[in-house]
Amino acid sequence: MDRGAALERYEELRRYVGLADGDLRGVPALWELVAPHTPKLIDDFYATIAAHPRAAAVVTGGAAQFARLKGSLAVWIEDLFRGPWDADFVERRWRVGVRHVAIGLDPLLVHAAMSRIKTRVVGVLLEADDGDLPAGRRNAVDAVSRLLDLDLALVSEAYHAEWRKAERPADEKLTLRERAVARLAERALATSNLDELTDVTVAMIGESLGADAAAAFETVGGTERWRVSAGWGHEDFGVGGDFGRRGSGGFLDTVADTHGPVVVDDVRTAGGRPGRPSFPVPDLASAVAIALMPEAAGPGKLRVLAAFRTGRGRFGDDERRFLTSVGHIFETAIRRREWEERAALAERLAAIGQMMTRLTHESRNVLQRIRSSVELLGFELEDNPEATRLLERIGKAGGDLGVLYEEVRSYAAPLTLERSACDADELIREAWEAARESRPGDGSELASDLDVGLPPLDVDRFRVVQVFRNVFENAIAACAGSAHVTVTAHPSVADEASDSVDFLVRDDGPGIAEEVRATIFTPFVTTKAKGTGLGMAIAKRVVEAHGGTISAVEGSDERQPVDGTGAQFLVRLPTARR
Amino acid sequence: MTLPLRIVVADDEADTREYLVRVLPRFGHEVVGVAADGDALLALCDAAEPDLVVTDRVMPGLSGEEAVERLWGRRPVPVVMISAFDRSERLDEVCPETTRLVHLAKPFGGEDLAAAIEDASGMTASTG
Repeated sequence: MDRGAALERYEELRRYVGLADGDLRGVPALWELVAPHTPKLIDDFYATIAAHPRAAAVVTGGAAQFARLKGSLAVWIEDLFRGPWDADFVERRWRVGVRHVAIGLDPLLVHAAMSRIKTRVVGVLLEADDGDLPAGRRNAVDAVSRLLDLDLALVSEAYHAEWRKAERPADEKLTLRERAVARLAERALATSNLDELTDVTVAMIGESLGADAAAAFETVGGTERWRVSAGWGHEDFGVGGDFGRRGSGGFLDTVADTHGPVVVDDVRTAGGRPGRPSFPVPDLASAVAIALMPEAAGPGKLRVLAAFRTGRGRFGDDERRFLTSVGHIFETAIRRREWEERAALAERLAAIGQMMTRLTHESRNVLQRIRSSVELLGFELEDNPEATRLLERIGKAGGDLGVLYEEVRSYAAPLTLERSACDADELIREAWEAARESRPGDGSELASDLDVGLPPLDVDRFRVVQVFRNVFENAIAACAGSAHVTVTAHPSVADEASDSVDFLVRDDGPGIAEEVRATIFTPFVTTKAKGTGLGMAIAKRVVEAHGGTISAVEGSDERQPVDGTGAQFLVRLPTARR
Repeated sequence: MTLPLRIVVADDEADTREYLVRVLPRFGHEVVGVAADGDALLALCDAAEPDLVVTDRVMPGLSGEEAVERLWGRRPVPVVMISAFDRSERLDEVCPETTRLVHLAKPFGGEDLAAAIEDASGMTASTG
């Protein structure tokens, strides 16, 4: 509060307590009565303070400071009596209040102390002349009493004002962040657009933390590089911006490998290798960052949220906690979105499945009529080889259509598993026999090398044979001549209690191109000249219904034959132990 | 059992009935009755006492499944049950031990039908 405002406030208070200039006229004359008593009054006052642990704690300068404080109090009391009660007076009183705030004195103690001084001062005045007060003096004592009340009001006001200055920014900062987190949570619930949410989150982190820049980074599948997915406040954080290879040990890797939020004093050096920058934005130093849980970030994806400042060491625990909250919201949003997608897909598949089941059943009747008629017509045309050839072609087309219907149904129909304990070796052999029928006599061979004593699988035998059959048929189809397929199997965890078994199926064909690997389990994607493109999609559906996994893996396995760069599939299936 | 087998066929689709009537003799069998529903199938079986029945499972009125169950209540006849739907196991449970039930899924051809008949009747000789 400035001088003018302080004086105005003081005079307003004076009017409020009815203290006119005329009332103050007799006050200076009272000083003579009080002055002889003040040394003792002041000594008593500070003795009380020294005896009070919380009050004494703010006087850190020992006896010398007590002496200074006593001098100040003496001046303060004299000042009260002498006036004039003008702008300078108010400013001096105000400063006393401010000083009390600065040393961290509890305002309640100030109130108690002021009350004590007032009681003593007024007491001295009332007891003067053996209590036989002249009429004019009574008014003056009353005025002193009110002056002391006004002083207390000024001190209180100083407290409030100083607190507003000192405390309010912190409060506001906190409230702002809390509000931002709440708004983000709201937004996360409302939107299913992850890109939009990422943008909003990054801007909100930047603004709420008073950062100079903020960004979201993610690894890009396949190439495994860090890229910006949303940026705020810095031109280097353009969407798609490349931030190096995952695993090269820089700042983003450090964050990704840490379970929890990370505060870094200087990103340019943290976690980096000597002579190599840890983070390629030279004007940013401080950072607070968090990696989202991998399972929330999406399959094979890492996500990092980070805020930056140009100065070093600008972030602390508050920012770390703040980012943790934001990270949780973001993770929840991603998970919710995935869940919604899965639910929507399941619903759609169920509807398609029912329709396909119906359609397939009906198609069997129709295909039967085609087949019957073609066969009967064949009897009529037995002597006409050209017509017979065409009829066979129609019959074959009808057969292919039937297979297509059956496969789509098999992919889309509700899947009910009939689990039983199954021997892994038997499953593999049965599937191989079935797959061989697709191209008998081409010399294809199976070499299976399953761990001795594998626990029985807890699977639907018919369905899992179908899975391996599809994988084997793919291998046979991919190899120009005879295919050499190898199957190895071992417990997923090198532990007797492993609850699943890993099967690795390899062939010696041309392998799977990287771009094909990404879509190999997508329905209707095929590289075969014939085929519906559903075989691997069905395999994936069946395996996942078992709680297992199937993936096309890169042919870099050291056990791979030197001359073979073929396809490799890793199938994980549950055992009865699960 | 030996050739020719005397067979009663039942299907609600005329195309399939015609097919069965024309294709079975080519495998050496004799069609002794043709029905379009389960009631007619039962009546024909009572009259003709066939060696074997080839019937569609789902038909309007009395279904093939119900008709066969009743038929077995009178005498055990081998049955080839053709169906566009997934296999039903209900009949397997009531099939008399002295006879056989073979399921045949649509769409099927003459060879499939002949093999199913062979299987159901317990014939061992080649039917050419």
